[in-house]
Amino acid sequence: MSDAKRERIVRARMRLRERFKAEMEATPGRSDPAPLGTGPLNRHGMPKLPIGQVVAKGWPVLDLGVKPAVPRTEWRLEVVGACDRPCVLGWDELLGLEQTDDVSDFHCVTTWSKMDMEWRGVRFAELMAHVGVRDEARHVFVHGYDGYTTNVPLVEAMKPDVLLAHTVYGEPLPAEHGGPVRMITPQLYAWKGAKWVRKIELLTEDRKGFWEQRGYSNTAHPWRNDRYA
Amino acid sequence: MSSHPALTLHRWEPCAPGAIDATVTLACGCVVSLRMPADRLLEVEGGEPRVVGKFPCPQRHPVRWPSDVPR
Repeated sequence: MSDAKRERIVRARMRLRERFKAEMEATPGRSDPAPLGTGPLNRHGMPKLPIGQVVAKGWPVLDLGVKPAVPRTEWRLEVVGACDRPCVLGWDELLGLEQTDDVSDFHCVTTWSKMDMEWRGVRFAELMAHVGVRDEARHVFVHGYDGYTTNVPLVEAMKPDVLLAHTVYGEPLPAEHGGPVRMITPQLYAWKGAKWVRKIELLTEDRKGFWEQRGYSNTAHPWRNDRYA
Repeated sequence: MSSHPALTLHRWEPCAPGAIDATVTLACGCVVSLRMPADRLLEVEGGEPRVVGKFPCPQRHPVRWPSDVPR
């Protein structure tokens, strides 16, 4: 990546940080005055274990019944909609963006949580700086290679722990868990993070995804037991 | 078809390599018997095992909070 391009992304990232800073701090995952859950507080001030969850020993595999095999060499991510530079990223382009290591918890709406997962990937916010997300963009609609879709408010997707993850515990993300690349949304129930991510639409109006159309919450806040619509 | 989490696991047994038969109560209240991948059976730290996933309701009950489950 050229220095000029890198500099443009850094400037865009700083603008986005300012744009979303106050709104992000006001989200339930950061500022709920009475969060529901137990245990010590996580790094965002929420109880470690959200209400209604148990700590899983393993890592269950949940999907729509389809596990697409997508080799890294054939994986593509299309970003379209309210942005200045829509693009199609391949594996090498993804690795050319700034890489982030993070440890976060994973809360599935089916009542299990997996704690302290070690991820590596690209921050969603970094991708937004890369494509030049426009001010009118408010929502994100994500497609998986399996046909799955989900929607996330842009302010939630811009949180620094939201990753397009390709590595877990130092190993390539297994195909059954969404490899080569999946999205993770640690401050929302995990269905908001599509596995085998294929396409991201930046929207000005909200549009419900697969589970959201089937009665599950549009907002999905774990510390509000926000499971159903 | 509406799909619900399983709230209670009543019984389960292996039925084939990598699969189990389980009887569960869904969030809508329906008791159903299902065959599922064995990794849907979840060991829980300090608790009873449960099965995880969303399962189709035979009565097509809408997905919502059951009236007898505290929120």
